[in-house]
Amino acid sequence: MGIGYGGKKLIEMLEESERLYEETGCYYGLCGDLPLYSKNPLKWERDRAYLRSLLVIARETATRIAASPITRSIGETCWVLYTPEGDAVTLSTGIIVHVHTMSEEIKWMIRRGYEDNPGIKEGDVFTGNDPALGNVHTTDVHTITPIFYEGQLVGWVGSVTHQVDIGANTPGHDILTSTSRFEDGLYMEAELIIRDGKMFPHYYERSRRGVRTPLYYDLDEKARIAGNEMVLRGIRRFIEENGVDYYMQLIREIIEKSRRDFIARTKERMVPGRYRTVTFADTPVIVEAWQPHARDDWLHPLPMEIEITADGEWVVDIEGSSGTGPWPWNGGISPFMGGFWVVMTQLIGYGEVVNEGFVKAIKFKIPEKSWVGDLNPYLSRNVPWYFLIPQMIALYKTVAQGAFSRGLVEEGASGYGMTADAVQGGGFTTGRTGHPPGIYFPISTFEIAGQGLGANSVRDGLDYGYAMWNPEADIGDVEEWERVQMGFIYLARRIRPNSAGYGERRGGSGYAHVAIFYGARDNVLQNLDMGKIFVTSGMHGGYPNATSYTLIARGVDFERLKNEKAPYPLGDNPNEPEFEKLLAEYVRYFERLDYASHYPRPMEEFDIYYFKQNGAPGWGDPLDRPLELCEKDLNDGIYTPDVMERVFGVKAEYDEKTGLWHVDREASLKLRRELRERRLKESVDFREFYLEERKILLESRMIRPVAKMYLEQSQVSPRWWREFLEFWQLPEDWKPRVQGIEEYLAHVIEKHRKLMKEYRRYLEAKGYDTSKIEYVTLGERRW
Amino acid sequence: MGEHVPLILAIDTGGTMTDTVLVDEKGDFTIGKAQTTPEFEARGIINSLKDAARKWGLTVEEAAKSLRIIVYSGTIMLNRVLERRGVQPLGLITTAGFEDTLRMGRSKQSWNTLSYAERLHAISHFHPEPLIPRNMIYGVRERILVTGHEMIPLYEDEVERAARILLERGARAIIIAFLNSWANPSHELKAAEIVKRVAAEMGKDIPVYLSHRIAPILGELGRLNAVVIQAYAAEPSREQFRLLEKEFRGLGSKAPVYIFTNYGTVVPIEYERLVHTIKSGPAGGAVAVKYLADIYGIDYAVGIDVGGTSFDVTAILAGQPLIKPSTIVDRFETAVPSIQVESIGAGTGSYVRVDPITKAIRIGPDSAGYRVGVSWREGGVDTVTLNDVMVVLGYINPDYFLGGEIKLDKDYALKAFKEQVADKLGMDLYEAAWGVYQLACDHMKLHLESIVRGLGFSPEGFNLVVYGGGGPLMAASIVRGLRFAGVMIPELAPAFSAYGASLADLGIRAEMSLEVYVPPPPGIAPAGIALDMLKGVYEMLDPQLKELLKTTKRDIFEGVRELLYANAAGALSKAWSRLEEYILEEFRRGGFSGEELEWRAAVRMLYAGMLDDVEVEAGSHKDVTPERVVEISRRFDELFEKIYAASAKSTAFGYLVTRAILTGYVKLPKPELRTHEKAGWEPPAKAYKGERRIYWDGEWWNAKVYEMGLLLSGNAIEGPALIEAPATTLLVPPGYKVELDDKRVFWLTQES
Repeated sequence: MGIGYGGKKLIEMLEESERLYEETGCYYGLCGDLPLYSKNPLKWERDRAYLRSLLVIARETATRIAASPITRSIGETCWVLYTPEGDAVTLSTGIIVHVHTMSEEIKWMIRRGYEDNPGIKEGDVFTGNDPALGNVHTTDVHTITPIFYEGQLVGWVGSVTHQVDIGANTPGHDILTSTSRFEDGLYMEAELIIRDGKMFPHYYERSRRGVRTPLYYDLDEKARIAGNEMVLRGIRRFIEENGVDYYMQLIREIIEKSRRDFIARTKERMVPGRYRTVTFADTPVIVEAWQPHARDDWLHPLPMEIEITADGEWVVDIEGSSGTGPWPWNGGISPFMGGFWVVMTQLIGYGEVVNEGFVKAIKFKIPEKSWVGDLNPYLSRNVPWYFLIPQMIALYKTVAQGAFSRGLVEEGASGYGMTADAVQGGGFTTGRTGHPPGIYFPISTFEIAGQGLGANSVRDGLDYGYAMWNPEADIGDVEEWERVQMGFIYLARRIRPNSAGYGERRGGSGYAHVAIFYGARDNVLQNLDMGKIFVTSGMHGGYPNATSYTLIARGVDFERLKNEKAPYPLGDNPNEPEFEKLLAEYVRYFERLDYASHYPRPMEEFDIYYFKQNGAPGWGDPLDRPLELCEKDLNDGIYTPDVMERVFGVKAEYDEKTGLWHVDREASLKLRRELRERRLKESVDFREFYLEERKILLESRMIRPVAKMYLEQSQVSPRWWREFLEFWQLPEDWKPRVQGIEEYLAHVIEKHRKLMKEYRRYLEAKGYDTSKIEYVTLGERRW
Repeated sequence: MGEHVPLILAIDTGGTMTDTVLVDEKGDFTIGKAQTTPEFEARGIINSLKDAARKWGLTVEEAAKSLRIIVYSGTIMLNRVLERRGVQPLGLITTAGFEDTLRMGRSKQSWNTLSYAERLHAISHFHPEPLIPRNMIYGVRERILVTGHEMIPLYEDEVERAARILLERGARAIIIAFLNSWANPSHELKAAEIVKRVAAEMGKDIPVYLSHRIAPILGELGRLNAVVIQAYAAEPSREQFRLLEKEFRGLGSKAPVYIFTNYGTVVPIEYERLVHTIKSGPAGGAVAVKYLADIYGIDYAVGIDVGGTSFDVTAILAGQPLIKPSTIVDRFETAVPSIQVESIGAGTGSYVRVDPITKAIRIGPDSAGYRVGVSWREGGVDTVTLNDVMVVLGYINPDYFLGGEIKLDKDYALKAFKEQVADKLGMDLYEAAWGVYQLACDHMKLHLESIVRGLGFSPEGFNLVVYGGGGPLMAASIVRGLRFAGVMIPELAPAFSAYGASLADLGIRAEMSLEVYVPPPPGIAPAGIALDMLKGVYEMLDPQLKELLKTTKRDIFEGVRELLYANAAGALSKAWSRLEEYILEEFRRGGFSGEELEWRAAVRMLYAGMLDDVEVEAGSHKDVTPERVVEISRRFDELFEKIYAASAKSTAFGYLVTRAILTGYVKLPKPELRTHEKAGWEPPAKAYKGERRIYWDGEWWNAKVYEMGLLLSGNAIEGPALIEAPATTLLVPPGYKVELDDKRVFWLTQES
């Protein structure tokens, strides 16, 4: 006799559900008419709405208890109702990422034999945060409560809140510095925390002592437990009114109906076929990392192939994806699903009931050794987002292509900006700002919530207004941020010119900040951003958005500068850099690095830090961009005139009197003709291109991270590797030669040195006085 | 007839129609309508008054003569923003580096007015085009911090250059908005001097607006939007109001014209922050709910307004309407207070559709509005609406809609609903209509319940006041299972909002941001951030004072604590006197001496380290002592416990006062809510109109039909029944009962 509905053991129920799906292709074998739905579709719909309302109201009420800023203000919470087998039935508003995460966790508990040990009883509460078992990243903490009715388990309710800190080796919610589980901080493996109305003291102490923000942890946990209790009572009320058999049949029909709805939507929007996308991420920390085993650079391929069948099913294949390693971006099925569904909800599911039925409508092919398939518990899983965000761009592109082919030209986009720079750190006040001295202030700006969104055939991307994980973007007021970040003061926050990916429809623009440490001591700052590569690519001739870099002015004599009322920099356009132009007289040296993610650095008062939010890729050939839109871009400060001329083929003149740019139509059309001719002249025949590229491969003329990437793919994804060898007609035993680490490090340092030397020359040619400018080199590493 | 002596005239100028409500001393009222005349609003208003006065047998001059107050509310100011027809070009001088704040709109402005589904559907997000283009915005170097500390001085030569350029480019007004000017306005004031000097040199005379004058509130986007909209849309109205007052003078009226604010008071025409009146529409209902609550001695009430296009919820907590510190104007986040109204796009005119792909029912968010639905053939609506559904179910009398002014075609509604909904779902026509009606009511119920619970209360603690034309038709179904303390449906329901505007007091609400730390109350050991603060402040003290504390106090922190209470008392006192000064100045400009004013002081505060601030009543704004500061913190503790949870109380961290609020008001004459003599339970025979078949919960019922106006106080009616009035129908379903009390409010109850 088991504890489940009908006296079955949970494992029996889970296996039966899987078998039924396997055999029939329908959830729980519910093919054909759905009996309750057919009998009265509107009562059915009301009942479904009632179940969802329980979760929405639980969230509204419970978040009043929670105190952590991200939970309260940004709404990073979610409540989900599950079947006894752990399949999501419906979920509240909030972080919709979690439709499937706790599902994995419940199934893990069932398979792990929790029913027998420690047992699952009425009133029990479990908590978890391990992405390998069911989560997105470790800072999302779950609470899972079983729902019993007359002694039988009829389902589960789960809730999740995002923590500002989970006790990792450096403070923050998405850190760069963790290389293994042992640096990630607190882990709970679907842990039983409450029995018979009492929380276990060992759990209480371990969790509160294990994080830097125990108050927030405590209040958020109370919120989750209370919310679950509210849902549980509502479900019992519903069952008392309608009967337990009705309830069980209803929740299964709800899932099957969603599966069918998803397929119907796919058929409405998409064209069957194979859609391929590839994005990349990189981990260039050879100069930055503390840990000896982490001192290297990696390039991570993140491809996705989606086949949409004639029946409207999706087959998602990530062969060729990066493996795992000493970085915080390792994942699992659960994080992957989290990222997948948060984007899919925005593209296909925004008006539907998203649940396990959506998941069932899709088949996933995950290589076992990939960053998704490798469930080795000792890997760091602090920020799987770092891979998820780029990889899920494939969904936007797939929908853009499919819907475009159906004539639904408004849907989908060329992608989106990576949600970075996530600047994190803190310091202590000195009293200069008017705050009392000695107060710790955190730096944890959530302005990453406002990146650019990509373009499609009918619209430019949304500027500074999108985060892949939360479409309700809000970058907050500077005055609000400075209330918290008391010694990290903004000198600018404005549109970052040329950050939008070029195209006939341009990508959304990013924005940038200049901030100064003021009235602050003992400051530390780390940044999680893109590395050296383009994460995105445009569509149909559109360009990726700008890539990233580090810029810090060290040892600024700010007192003298402001006393002299000398201008200070408000941004950074590397073609006309204000930092070098305005600060040369006042600065000790600059850090201009060709990568943006960096480990924690001590920062002094008056150091000036530049950071930026990304634009998004474009759509179509920039030479086709309508001239009136180009004129508007110039007037809105989206692009600088030199980029307009070089990339868009636009000649324009500035009218000082009105402050407006005017495009010279004739001259622009002529320039566009010339640029097209030049393109033709410079282009090579595909055969020539192919042979040259093949030669590079055969001679292993590639830097260490690229060669290592190929080597990794040959091991992680044999199927992908075979296709690669075939395409390039390489010998079957071909393997790239990998450059030694010392040689590569010398190359990295030398490359940066040369870059800065050339940059200095470039500036001198532009009339800058560079005699007083000193750039830090990677070899000396002064931090 | 001569029996009505008009006392108050309330005007509501919409985009197409101007409504006027004329109220006499006994609380009787009459409504007039006329077409709006945007180029000269007064004409449409006088025409509308003519219509209202006619119904009482008065000429427009007769009606105007006895008036003591004229209250204006309307959408013309808002329409100027929506249609981008305000004053332009405007020039903006702001802190260098922050020139794009208007355009970026905190990202939020790209989605803040969308439905939940469209909020998720990111590709449908767009930023609104800003009211000031980039070429008219100039940044000048300066920086003030949140503490008011001057980090970077004002680069005056940059101001001079910016002013010259903007004036050359034809700026009709110049707005100056610097970061944290609410904490220290010196840079804005200095910049204004420079701009004025430059303008004079150039021979120009243009207005200069300063952000800290219009909204001394933390949060640069809201402050900036407030001052921009003030210059762009509110100032042009001032001239129109003056003309209106002149017109009334010409008719023999001595009544002043007051403007209805977003938060339910009225202000004189000369009020500097006229932008406070830009979205007063929902305030009328809230004022009327408060009026009703006061009469019945109810401290906690929720109002629901079921209109043609939306379902609005507003709350009265502890006798005061809930006011939120910001308002969305078009899509602009604006630091202008207004009554907190939570709306969803579901009303009686909402379209009902079956999703062709999933067969799910979609109700709204778009609506046929005043065009009712397919059943009004002249309205030209093709898609069925909730009104049509209620015609199908027999709730709405097709021959008595708007008192019979509009004839509805029931057969056509049946046919259209069958084709568009029932057949697509393969359902019986009436079962489908019932299901849709219930789904709509459930949707409203969920919205209502999540707001009440979101405030931290359960429905049992509230009386519910139902109004709007659709309210009485849906009330029973919306409240089913929610257990409100009482459900009140005033006979006035359809005109409740318009009536509310005539009940307002003359009042100016002034707010300013503060950053004042208050340590934990005596006896509570400081923890976390409170300890850091006390240590930090101790470090800052003069060495002699430190020594003194060491020798005189058992615990040095206790001494620092006392210093901080005193500091807070000083800061609050200073803030409130500044607000008082401002309000007096404004009233004096409107011709008042200031002595007749009554005051209401409040603060917004939070636990240090938390994010949500709560408004706390503070009693008098005079004689602020350290003891009173402690008392206010205690009051905050109590309120916090009610709204959030006792377990989240964090007294040991201390508090942050984020805002000082002061309202100065003058009580204005108000109509009485007449008390009627109570008759027996049995309704009089003349009120009975016959029977009508209605469909309810799977069955047909014969509902008794009554004429609302002919029922007597004290009458009780059991469902199934329909109580008809020209502008609404009260549906009493089987198992429900209503009783009409002596104030002509129906109380709805469910038989258990």
